[in-house]
Amino acid sequence: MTAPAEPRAGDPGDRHMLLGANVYDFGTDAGAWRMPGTGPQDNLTARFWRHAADLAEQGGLDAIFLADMPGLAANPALRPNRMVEPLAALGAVLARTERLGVIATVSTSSNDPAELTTRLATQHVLSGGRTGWNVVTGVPAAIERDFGYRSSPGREDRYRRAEEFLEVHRRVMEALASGRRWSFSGQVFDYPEQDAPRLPESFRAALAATPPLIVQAGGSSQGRELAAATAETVFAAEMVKEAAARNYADLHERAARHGRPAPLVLPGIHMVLGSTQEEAERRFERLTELGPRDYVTRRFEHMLGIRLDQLDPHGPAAPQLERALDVPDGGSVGFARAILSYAASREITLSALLRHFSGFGHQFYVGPPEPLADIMEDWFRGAACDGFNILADANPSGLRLFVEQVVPVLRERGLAPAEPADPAEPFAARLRKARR
Amino acid sequence: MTPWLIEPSDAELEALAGQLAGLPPAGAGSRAEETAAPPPPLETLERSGAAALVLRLPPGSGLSALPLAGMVLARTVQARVLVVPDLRTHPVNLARTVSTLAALHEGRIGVLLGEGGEAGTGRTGGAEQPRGSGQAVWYDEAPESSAPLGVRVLRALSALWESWPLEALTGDTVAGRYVDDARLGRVTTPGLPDIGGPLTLPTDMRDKPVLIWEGTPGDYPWVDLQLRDRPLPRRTFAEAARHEGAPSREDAPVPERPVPGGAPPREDAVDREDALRRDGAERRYAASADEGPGFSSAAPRTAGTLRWALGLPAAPPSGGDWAPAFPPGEGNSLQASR
Repeated sequence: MTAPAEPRAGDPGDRHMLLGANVYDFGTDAGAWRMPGTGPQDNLTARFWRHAADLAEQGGLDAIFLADMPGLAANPALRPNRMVEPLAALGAVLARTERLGVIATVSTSSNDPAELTTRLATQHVLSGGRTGWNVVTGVPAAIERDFGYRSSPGREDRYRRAEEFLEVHRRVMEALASGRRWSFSGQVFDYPEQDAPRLPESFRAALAATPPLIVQAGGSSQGRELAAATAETVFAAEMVKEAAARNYADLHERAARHGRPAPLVLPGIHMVLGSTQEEAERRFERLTELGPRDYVTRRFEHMLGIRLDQLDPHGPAAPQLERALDVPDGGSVGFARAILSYAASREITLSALLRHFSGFGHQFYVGPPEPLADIMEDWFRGAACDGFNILADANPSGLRLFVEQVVPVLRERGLAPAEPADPAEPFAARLRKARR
Repeated sequence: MTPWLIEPSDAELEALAGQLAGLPPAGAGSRAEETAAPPPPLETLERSGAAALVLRLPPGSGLSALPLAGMVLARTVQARVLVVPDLRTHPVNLARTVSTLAALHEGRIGVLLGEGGEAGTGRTGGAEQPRGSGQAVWYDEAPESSAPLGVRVLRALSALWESWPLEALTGDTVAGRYVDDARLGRVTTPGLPDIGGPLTLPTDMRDKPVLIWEGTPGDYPWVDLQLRDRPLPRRTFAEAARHEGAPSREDAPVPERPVPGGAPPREDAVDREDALRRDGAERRYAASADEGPGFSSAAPRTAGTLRWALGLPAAPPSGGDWAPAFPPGEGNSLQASR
């Protein structure tokens, strides 16, 4: 009798895929704020966030995720983006829901680690264990001075700070949960030995049982190593399944070297849905028309550090980009890699790549629900991910389309649970347990 | 009627946090204790008529006032909060958080600071990026420090909220112009000269979050109210519950936080919440000083805001320096980001 084969690292077995909704205010597309039925201040109301919360929870999603930067990364004249402070906005989501998790992005370069830890811990216990912290390291150049930077911190400096920041976070969280004294002395941070912050016993017990989830999004070598060493979930930028599978395996190997379970991997997937291909294409065209002229082109140039007018739009994309690529120091290596990988795998022209770049480094999909479910199933069963972070083209309509049209298909295929998660097991505990 | 505040005891603060978290209070369980227990804090707060709940955590607390404030606001429809922030929170992060809570919860928030927050742990210093820990890392290079740190932080908050006034959000969906970017600026103050934004979101200048100083009075025109000049009566939750008009345990409806395994939020509570918010929006800027419960007059305010409840006029300007954040002709209006 032959022994059963060892399961591959990403083989889902009978697991369900995890689904998060990345709510970029009005939506991922630049023209989303101009969609009919949308008001320009909608994202500044509790009603907007409660609506998103209802859609996500009632639609069976696991979490709402908010990306963030502590300052304006660009002029908002033509498109709003990442406006509200995530922890404050997600409080409204938590107060509305009972099972849904929330993941807030907060930068290690613009906070004090001990203070942030008490903020995260308080929100986490108040929510019944339903929060995660997406650890990022960036600060927009326009606001670096506000945070005490005399010059732009390079990637190495940011990650060195992040590593110490996370260690301080770990020690303070442990002190909060145990009541024991703590200290830290490093190159960036220095905390003399001190009493544990005081908490009601019930809060200590809740934190000891289920601390907040640590999420990471960096795709650079430093980011991947930090994720392997500290994260429990990774929000990945992937456009090609084969590359995603390689990175998935790499992360599992790195985590194993640290003696810890691998983080769950949720690649972003930017989607424009319709009941038919034609309907989805019309929606995409409409959103493109509503966005600023040349927005995608300018964004593409900015992200990769290139000038498109110096390249041949009808020539093959991959070799041209490999020669010209110059990711700015504050830019995302992960996104750049994903785009290059996509261009190389498809052997497409530069102009064709630009359309796919409408996903901004994430997988981009325009079409009806069934083929999207096919792609998601293929990636999930193909050891490329543990689920997806949904980037709807426009909120709330795109999120509603996903919940109403795609989730039922995933349920039919056994990829999404038929029943909502048991609220007795908090979001952070559920995801932590799902790691392998 | 003079506005008054609820300032909970430490034990009451813990009880409030426990109620928000759905965790049982210490010593809960016995029938006798349940009978003698005071009404839940949220219900008392919502029905008390207090101008605001002061969220001031005792030194060494492991709780944070900002998420507590957010959760109180999200689970009430009328209650207002005065948050006493941890000064280790950077002013930009604090300004964004308070502005977000003010926008989402109808201006029912303000910031209260006093003296005593000056001590911080030292820098390791000399680097090109902020090092060390605690609040000192954000503040130790202010060129003039005659004003107490709390006063300077209040001024920085006021300035940061001016960096993107709500009126600049034109939202022209036809022309595709979201913001009049000429009105976004870096607004810096003498006390904290390197901190000036702009913030990532707009703030309503007519209903700016309230700024209150309770330290030694001084000439601080950017502060809305100096408590030592005009003290406000304060009651604990227990005193507020005994106060005339406070609710009994039986008649205190508050939007419920879903509990694990429990029923979804009551539709009537949610509908009432939405109706109250719509009503507040329709009365926007209609409230006159006569309608307000406070001791001041003048200026448009929105009914239900903390500014309205305290009878304060429109917020004074920060008096900081202003420079355009996106100067015309610098080619950055189309700079794309996600």
